[in-house]
Amino acid sequence: MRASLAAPLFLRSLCGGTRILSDSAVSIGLSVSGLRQSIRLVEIDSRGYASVMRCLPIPTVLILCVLAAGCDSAVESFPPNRVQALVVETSRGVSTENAASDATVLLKQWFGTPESPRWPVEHFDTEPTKNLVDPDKLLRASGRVYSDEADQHFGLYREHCVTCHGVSGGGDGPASLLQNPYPRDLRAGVFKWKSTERAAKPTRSDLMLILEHGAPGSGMPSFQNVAAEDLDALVDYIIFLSVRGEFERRLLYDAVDELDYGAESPGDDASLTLASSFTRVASEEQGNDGYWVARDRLNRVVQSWIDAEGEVAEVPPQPENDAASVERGRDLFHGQIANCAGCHGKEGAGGVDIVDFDDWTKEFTTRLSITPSDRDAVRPFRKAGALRPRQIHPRKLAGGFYRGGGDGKTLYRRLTQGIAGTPMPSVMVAEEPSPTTLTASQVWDLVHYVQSLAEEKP
Amino acid sequence: MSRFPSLSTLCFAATCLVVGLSSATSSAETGTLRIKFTLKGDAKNLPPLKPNVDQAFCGKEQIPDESLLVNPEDNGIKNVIVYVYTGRRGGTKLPKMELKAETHILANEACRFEPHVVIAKKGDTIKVTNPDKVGHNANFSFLENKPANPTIPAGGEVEIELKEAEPAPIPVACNIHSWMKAQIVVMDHPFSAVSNENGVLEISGLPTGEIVFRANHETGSLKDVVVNGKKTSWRASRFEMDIKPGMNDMGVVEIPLEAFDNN
Repeated sequence: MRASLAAPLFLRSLCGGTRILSDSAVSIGLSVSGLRQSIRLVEIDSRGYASVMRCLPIPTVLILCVLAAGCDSAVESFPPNRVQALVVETSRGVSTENAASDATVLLKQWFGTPESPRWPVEHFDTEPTKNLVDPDKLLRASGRVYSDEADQHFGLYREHCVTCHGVSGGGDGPASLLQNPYPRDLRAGVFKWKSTERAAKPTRSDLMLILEHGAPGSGMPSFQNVAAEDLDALVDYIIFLSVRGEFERRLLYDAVDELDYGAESPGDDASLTLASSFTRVASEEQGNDGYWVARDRLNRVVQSWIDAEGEVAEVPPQPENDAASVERGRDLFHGQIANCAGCHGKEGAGGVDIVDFDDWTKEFTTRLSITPSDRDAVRPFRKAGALRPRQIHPRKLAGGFYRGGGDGKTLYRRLTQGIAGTPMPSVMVAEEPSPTTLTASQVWDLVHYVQSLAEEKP
Repeated sequence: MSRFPSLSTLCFAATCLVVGLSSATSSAETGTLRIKFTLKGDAKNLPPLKPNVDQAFCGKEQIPDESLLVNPEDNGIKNVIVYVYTGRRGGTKLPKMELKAETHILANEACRFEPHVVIAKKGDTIKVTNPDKVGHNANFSFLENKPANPTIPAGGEVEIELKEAEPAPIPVACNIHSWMKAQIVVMDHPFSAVSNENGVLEISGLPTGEIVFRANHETGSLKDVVVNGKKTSWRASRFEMDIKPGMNDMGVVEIPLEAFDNN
């Protein structure tokens, strides 16, 4: 049984929920799999902030459902990426108020709302990009939480993901504050755990794998008990949010760099608001500059997802994992070519004093010449919605968890590709041994050594 | 007073733009833009950086703080970048030109990047080298090219192809030695330059006529400047110049100390 109900304020007090950073309650989702299970109410506001509700007796919930019926209200819009607007403003030295405002109009026209998302097929150049996301699956995954008579589930993202990842996929849901590392901000279009090359997007299989297995050692749980077709719909919605978010981020740059947005709007011939009114234009003579810049950016972002399937990082056959290989790997781990111990510590025990941050944090700090610990300089970004800068630490490999998986193939790719969005670099692989590169066989030796560390006590 | 790095005596011709000379524009007559950037105010004395990793090697030589390099003799600011701005609207429409592919060295040298600013263009290659005795990595935070972060073992080198132009200077960092930073400029034209230790830069081979430029400094804002003694606002860090054949000396551009507030 699944139901959706409204959230008048008195209901919150009846539920005894602890409200977290919620300005206005807009809906309450209820998920019950059977009488044996407890009922958890999750209150979601327009930013995806949720109240933590305690378990309630089913009769009480039913009464509350009746009381609340008819008061459900929608999450009207995806919150704009105000942090990115401030990043562009700081980076380019020009106001982005108009750019952000007009971009929001265009984004709503092209991508819809959390209640009614849309895939802007009319603006795509190729069939694969048009078909990357299934609009029907978007509708399954979006909006309020409920199920129909056929027990088909809807509102999957709000049910399973929004509390951590936020309405727009910004990784800034209320639970994000309690997690280390923070939940992924999908809007950057950067993913760590994947089979593809460092700069590539993940494949659908990669995303499904993370949904099924979670990311051990982080707050990302396994959703193995969720029906396969629901997970499949969620993959579409995650891609949708990432495309939408990356497009928004890049469009803000484009608005300043290409369309001359500043303290004044650029006029109709470049306006993104006007661009949003074009449903489809076929030639450069139609539309305006704003339209063509936005359309070009959209297609490039979506194409990167299409390309991912052909960018899976190759892994050569695994040689025998024996004591000799582990020993060779140990030497390489502590040697100058791979220099793993330089960050991960002797025998992978960690403890190396490296002050560094991930790319999501660097974007509004070090890349703008702002020291992450400088509270005054960081404050405007925090006010715009950025999470508090938090240092990233190299993984303690001894007895540790492998967030993206610890199998041989996965670890081989970690070494040859590094980890996108993090300081973890890639090693260069060459055909022949040399003092400055590793061979594939040597990378496998490293993998075997790292796997042996997991068995040791931390 | 600011100090200079010991390796700062770079050849002017190498640090200022020369790539423009290798590319012909459709204009028969070309111009050269010359600017001297200086600091308006007293430069802070930035002490050398203290390495917290690989101290045995990186601590052997002083590592200069390159966030703001000011010449103590004339207040000239090093590493100010200027390039022709070609944005779709408000930018200069450059004539079509063939870009000669070049290879630029970015060395991990004495636990700093040398040079601190690489001027490149679409189609060029960056050869990242490591003459040091410790391992480094070079994290390129590209927007349009594929972000890359290779390790460069001692004595090793890695080539990075620049297949796309970038809209603005891109940061490069070594994550092992977090103080190591650099910038790379990748335009789809050859008209970019970086100021030398005297704060002077030149962009050669420019087509004549009104040209829009954009200025950048790693840690400073170039919105409000003083051009030849006159307060001037550079909207979005851009300025226009009517380029005549021959030398176009813009004079002295002073950048107020407050522009480096975040530093």
